[in-house]
Formats: sequence, C-alpha cells, structure tokens
Amino acid sequence: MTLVCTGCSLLCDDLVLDDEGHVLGACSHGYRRLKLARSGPRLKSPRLGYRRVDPDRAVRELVRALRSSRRVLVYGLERASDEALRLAVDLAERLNGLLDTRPTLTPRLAWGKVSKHLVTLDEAREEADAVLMVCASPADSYLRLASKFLVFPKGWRIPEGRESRVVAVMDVRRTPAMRMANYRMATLEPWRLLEALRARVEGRPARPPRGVSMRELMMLASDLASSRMTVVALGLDGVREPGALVDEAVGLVEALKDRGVKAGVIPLSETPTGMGLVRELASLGDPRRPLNPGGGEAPPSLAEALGMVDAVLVVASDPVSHLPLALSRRLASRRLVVLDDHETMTSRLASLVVPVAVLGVEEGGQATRTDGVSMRLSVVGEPPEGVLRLADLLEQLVEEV
Amino acid sequence: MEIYGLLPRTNCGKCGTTCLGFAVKLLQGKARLEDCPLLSQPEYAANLEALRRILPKPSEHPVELVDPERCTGCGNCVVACPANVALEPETATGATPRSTEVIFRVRDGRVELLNPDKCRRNPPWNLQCRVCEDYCYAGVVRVR
Repeated sequence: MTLVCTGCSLLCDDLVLDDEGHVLGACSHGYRRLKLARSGPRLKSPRLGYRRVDPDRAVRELVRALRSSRRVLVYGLERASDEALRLAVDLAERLNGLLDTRPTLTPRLAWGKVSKHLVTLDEAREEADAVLMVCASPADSYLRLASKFLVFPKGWRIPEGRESRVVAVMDVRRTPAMRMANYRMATLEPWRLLEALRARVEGRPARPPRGVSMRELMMLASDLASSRMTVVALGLDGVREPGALVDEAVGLVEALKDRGVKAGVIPLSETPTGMGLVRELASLGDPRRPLNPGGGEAPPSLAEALGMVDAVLVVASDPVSHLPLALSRRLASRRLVVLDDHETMTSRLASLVVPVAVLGVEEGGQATRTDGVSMRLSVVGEPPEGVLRLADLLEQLVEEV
Repeated sequence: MEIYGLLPRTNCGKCGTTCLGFAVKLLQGKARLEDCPLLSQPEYAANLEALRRILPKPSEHPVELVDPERCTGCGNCVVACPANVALEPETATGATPRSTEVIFRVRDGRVELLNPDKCRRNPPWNLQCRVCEDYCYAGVVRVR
C-alpha cells in the first residue's frame, strides 16, 4: 500500500507499507509519525485537569469552555488537512475569535515577496540544473529534499542526476548537507552573500561576506547566470535577519530572470502543513499577522493577540516548545485547551486535552506541500476508540458553538 | 593508546607515517596490519596476535554501515548509487525502491544494506566509486 508521509512539509507520496507492517521509503521523521499511530507515545484518552474523562464529556467540556470564554485564540494547525484548516477558520469566526500560528514560519514571513516566484519541487527535479539551499538544514529537517527532489534524481532535463547539477549549500554554520555541495558557504550574513551574487549576476562589482572567497562568489554567480533553471530552497533557520534574507533571495531570482534564466523559490515550511495554512491566511488577509476572521482589524502580532483573549485553543501544535519564554508564559496563563495526537509541553499545562487522530495515518483529506502542491493523504487505519479525526471534531464544534 | 602500545614504536616510516599515526589509521580502518613490515618479524608475533584480537574485523565487502542507528533515512545513498539505479531504474527519479535486489534501501526510517556484493567496487567492475560514503549526512555508510 502506498502512503503519503506527514513527517515534514515535503509530504513524500511514495512510501510503501508492506504486508509485514514495515515501511519502505520513510525517513526517520516520517517513520516516527507512523510509529506514533501504532505504538505511541500518543494521547488516547481525554484529560480534564489531571483526570481522565470519557470522550463525550470531553467534547461537552470543550464546547462549554469555548462558549464561556470572552474571546478565543485558535493557535497552531501545524498538522491539519486543508479541510480542517477551513473549519478552524470558521470556528474562530463563529467565536468572534482570532487565529494564528507559529510567527517564524518561513512561508509566512516570505509570502508577500515569494508568492509570485514559486516553483514546485517536481519542476525543480525535472529541470533545475542549479540549486541553492539557503539556511535550509536539509540534513536535519527536510531529510529527503536532496534525494527525492533537488540534488540526486534524474529529470527530464537532468539526465545525469547529481552530475548534471551545480549545488550550493549556504548556511550560518558548517552543516552535514555541505558534503553534497559544489559550493559550501558558511557565513553569518547569508543575506549579504545573496546580495553579492545578485550584484555579480547583474554585472556589478561585489565583495563577498566573511567566510566566502571572492573566487567562490565569482564562480557561483557565473554558474547561476549560465544555468537553464535555478531554484532557491529557502529556509530561515538560525538567521538573524530573515526579512533581509527573503528580500535578497527574491532579488537574486529576479536578476536571474532578467538574464533569461528560469528561476524560482521554494520556501521550506517548518511544519508539515504550514504552507496550506499560510495560503488560507493569505486568502483572507495579511498572512504575517494573526487573523481576525470575523472582520475588524487584526492585531499586529501574536503578543497583541494574546492580550486580547482569555482562552487559547491549541490545535496540533506545541507553542510552549517553540515560542519565546515571555509569550509561552502569557499563553499558559490563559485558559488552555489542546487538541493533539501526542503529549507535548503545551498539553501538560492545559486544563483540557482532547486527543485526535494522526494525520496521514488515521485521518486523510487534502494537504498542501511546502511548494504549494496539493496532496491527497492516505488512511491506513482507524483511530483508537473515542479518538476523533480533527476535521470531524472541528465540524462538531462549529455546529455546537 | 592500547594499539600504539602494541606497535614496534620505532617510527621507521615504512608505513608512510609515525607509529602513532599508524595506530590511528588502524583504528579508522584506513590501514592494515600488513602495512607495517616490522610486525611480521618473529619478535612481534605476540603483539601481532593481540592487535588482530582487539582491532575491528574488516568487512569482507567494500561497503559497510557503521553505527546504523545514527542513520536518518535521508535516502541519499539509495539514489546516488549507480548500481542501485541500474538494479531498480525508478530509483533514479528519487522514488523508493521496492525490491530486495538493490544494494541500499530505506526501511523503517533507516538504510538497509541488502546486497553489498553488488557494489561496483567489487570485480568485475573494480570501480573507485564512493558516492554512498561521500553523500551520507550521518557518516554511517563507509567504503573500505
């Protein structure tokens, strides 16, 4: 049986579940998600405070908590189908609430600038003979990015696979991914490197930032300018100036296009379904700000949004682990309700925890890959008794609130 | 230091380095005991025996997995290996190989070395290929 993986935002669609229950093709991140569904550690029973309660009571308490709150922030949706995302927006609207997600999500920060330069991973595999991985950490985060899409596979116009491509890996530190690169560029100012590359592509003089030699800069600029297609796989991991990095990446792509090189950007989402959420937010307003689906002005930041609510419904996310301490404290001081498939730092602080099915294993639907391509998720089994699918639970909440 | 203690420690240089350097290379699998001409002499027979006991046994195949639990399942070796691609052509496009005839396959989140005898470093090809080792993020795949 073929599966679509939900271990990261690549949503690899070629996993195979054999008759003995082994999984072929899944990297360690993907395998961990599949194992979660089978053997844990997952949430199986709802919890009210420290007491386990039955699922029906949990849903009643959930509805009561949402109705009795002055204003609710729906937060997260990092592992949610497109259907669940739309239901979450609907729910936030009915509650006259707000909706937000991880502030540092790359597609979110980059959306306004990169949306007209997006290319798909499949297109890159088939045609890109020059690849820049910018602060992307493929060896840690997007494990199959190189082997399935951007570096090793052969494509329609890439007959020799790796040998047909120029690969540059640039990051703020030396990374294991640099092993596969022609250009290995570690610099604390990657945006300056992109700025210098752009200048060279445009025929202007430029100096490289510290950590990169002039020779490397000149050679890489020449390779990019003479490529058929250049793709920038953009991450913002560890970057001090994410806005500047996005600007310079887009500037480089535009400069290459002016020279007749096909070029594009793939913003790498740190969460499996982050791109889907960003597109949903972008269709309703500025995706960089929390959403106020009921109309009216949206708060400018998560900090402001938390100041406007007295309850937070955390859906498939662990904000306490990724937010700065001050924001985590503020979030935890609100009435906290969590819907998730496994125990997290946030769920340990919640007053009510309701388990949901594992996406891509027990819950299907459509989901959006990091390059914006829609994928049909697979279902290989039923969730444990009493555990609802997220989309079904959100639909029930929309009806009852 | 245990390995170094069993070597002749004359620093004659015939192995291409000092005795300490040779000890490090032995441990890394980058040198063989036979590379030291002094060890084959009778006065070092007991040392040679002890070294053979404590050094890791070299693999009989040209490629091996070292600390396979560190593998992240990235699949670089699967797609980069030209022999793998020849054995299951769809692998060339980045797809997961399904057969057990390939050399490398990722199963349950980690690489499996199924058929190292098909590696083209072996006869009759005798190629100096080491792409699997070169592109392994975790340093798990090693070429002897």
